[in-house]
Order: sequence, then C-alpha cells, then structure tokens
Amino acid sequence: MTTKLISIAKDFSPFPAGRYLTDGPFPGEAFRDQVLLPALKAHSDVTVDLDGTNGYGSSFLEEAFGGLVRKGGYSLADLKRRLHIKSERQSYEVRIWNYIADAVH
Amino acid sequence: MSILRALDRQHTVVRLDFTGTRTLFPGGTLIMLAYLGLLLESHPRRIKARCRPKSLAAQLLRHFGLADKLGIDVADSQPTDESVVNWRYLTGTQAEGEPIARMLQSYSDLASFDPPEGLYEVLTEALTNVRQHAYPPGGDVPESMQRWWLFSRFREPTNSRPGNLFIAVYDIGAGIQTTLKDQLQGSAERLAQLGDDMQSLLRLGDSRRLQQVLLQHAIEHQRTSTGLAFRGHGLPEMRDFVQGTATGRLYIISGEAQYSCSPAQNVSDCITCDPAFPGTLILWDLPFQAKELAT
Repeated sequence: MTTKLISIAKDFSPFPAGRYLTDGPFPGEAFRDQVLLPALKAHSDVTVDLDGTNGYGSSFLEEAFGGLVRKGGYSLADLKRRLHIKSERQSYEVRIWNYIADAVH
Repeated sequence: MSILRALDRQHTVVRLDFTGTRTLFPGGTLIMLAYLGLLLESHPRRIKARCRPKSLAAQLLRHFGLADKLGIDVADSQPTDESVVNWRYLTGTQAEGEPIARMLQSYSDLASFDPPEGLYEVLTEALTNVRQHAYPPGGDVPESMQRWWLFSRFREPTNSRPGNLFIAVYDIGAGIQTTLKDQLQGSAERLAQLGDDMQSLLRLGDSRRLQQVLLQHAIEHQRTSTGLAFRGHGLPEMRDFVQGTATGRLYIISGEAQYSCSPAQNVSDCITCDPAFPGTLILWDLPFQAKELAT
C-alpha cells in the first residue's frame, strides 16, 4: 500500500484556471491527466492538498475531479476509499465530492 | 460617419477628438479601449487622437499603452492623476490565472484592503467562460480578436466614504443569451426541463422578453440542479460571490438585457437594454471598509 501527497500549488501550478487544455496554461484537464490520474494509477491512496493557490474556479475543480469518473472510469466508492482532499477551505472538499457524485449520475 | 466606415476609405486617417471629454466612466471606457485596441491592430497608423495636454483622457490612453499608437505626446500624457493610476488593465485570449493573481496580490499588499475570498475564482471563471462560450467556432470574430479585457480600479477608503474595488470583464463575443439559446434548442432533454413560460418564449424566437428571461436563467440556475450545460457554474457563482459580500453589487450586461443583484436586494433585477449591447460586460462593485475599521 503506497500513499501519495499532491500539492497543486507545488506539483502543478499556483495559478490553476480553466477547464480544458485549450482554455489556458493550467486547466483542470491538465491537472487530472498529468498529475492526478497517474498518481491514482501508481498509488493506493492519494491526498490532494489544495492550499497555496489563490483559489479554484468551478470549471477547474469539476473537470479535474468530476473528470476522474468521466474520463478515468473511477467509481464514487473507489474514489471515496482512495482519494483524500486537504484544504483550509472546507467548501472545496464539499464541492469536489459533489462534482464527483454528479459525474456518476 | 462611423470610424469603420471612415477607415474603409483608403489612406483616410481618423482623428478622435477627446478635447471635450471631462469624465470617463469605467464600463464605457473599457469598451472604448477594447475596440480602439482592436482597430489600432487592424488599421495601424490610421487612427490618431487629440487630447488636451495632461488631460484625464491623455493620461488614460498613455496608462493603457495606446497613446503612442494614437500619436499623443509623451510629455503631455504622463499618468499622474489618482483617478488614472488606480486603474489596471489586462487583456488576453486564455483563462490565465497568473495575471489575475498578481493583480489581486498587489491589492492585498495594500495596508487597507483584504480581497474577498473567492474573487480569484469568479474572475478566472469569467475568463474561462469567454474562452469556452463567447466565441463559438465558425463565428464572425477572427481568432486574434477573440479576447477578453479586464479593468480594475481600487479606491482607498477615507473618513467620509468606504473604499471600493471595481472590476469589469468584457468580451465582444456572441452574448450569454445566444449561447444559452443555441444550447437549449439543440437539446430536447434540456428544453423539457424548462418551464412552460420559457418554452413559449423560445418558440416565439427573438424578443426582448426572451433576452431578459434567458439572461436571468443563465445567472440564477445552477447546472447541477437543472442539468443545463450552458456557461458552466460560473455565472451563478458570480452571483453567489456578490451575495456573500456585505455590500457588493454585480452587473451583467449582454445583448438586449442587463442583470444586477446585491446582498441589499431581496430580488435581482433584469431589465431590457436598448440598443443591444455588443458582447458581454460583467462588473463587480465591491465597497469595503479599511481593515482597521472592519475589525
């Protein structure tokens, strides 16, 4: 069993914004495909630390995390077991799990 | 004669006369700068400006990098007036977080002001919306002109009035209602989720009332509750962000409708706009007290 801690600010960008690769330099799709999905494939537990950036628009969060279901093929139950969200702003964690649940339906 | 018609004549140089300009209103100035910037790119050296020396117009055009292209004298246009130097101006084609973060950081560095939580998010969502929806593929706007423009002005609080952060984001794209209408009419499932009133209006085609209803619907209905995949979650979040401030106000002007809301209002206001507005303008007006007064 291996665990991986991802800091979006350090491991991806302090300036996340946008949904798709065409939107800008650091969108949710890029974070999901380049950082998050490889981590979930290689490790049994992944913690994503959201602190250290200016914030996250809904497009970024929805594509990064809702996209784990749509594009990564993960189930809500699997993600609940293996994905952990760390943030000083609790609302982000609630929103992320809502985006994942919405993507399932 | 319009500027474009004059520029259509070969070798004509258009001279814009700002000598009678006393006040420059933020929203209108942003739109003027956007179009002026595009025209200067498409018609270099064909537009000049006349300004009174050291006037606000001359300073503003210098501050936003257009003065040299318009032939305005350097010595007569150095930005010194507080009402000019307090403005920031950004433009781009992508949803880039870094310039937004740097702008907000510069405000955070001021002793008197803490940017409200969530401001970076709604601003980057506004740019994302422009990128994803304002300029549909195959539209009339050339790729190089598929831009957004952002204006911000910070005013320190004084003993007699609160401080104020004003931010406007503008695009010259299709407009929110056009985007939403196209998406609704392209999906029977989404149409079926609408109320009878809006379905009737959609059947009637273009009307001012439809423009109003569509704009209000786009801003006030979350995609998650309606299943509508219009401008993402961004517009409802812009409204929620302002509602979460003590005294902020949000204005969204698009096509033939103008929407506004504030925490002080129990209901939002959506009125018709005549003549139709070219593109979409989103304005946040965020009054604040100095840190030491607020705590």
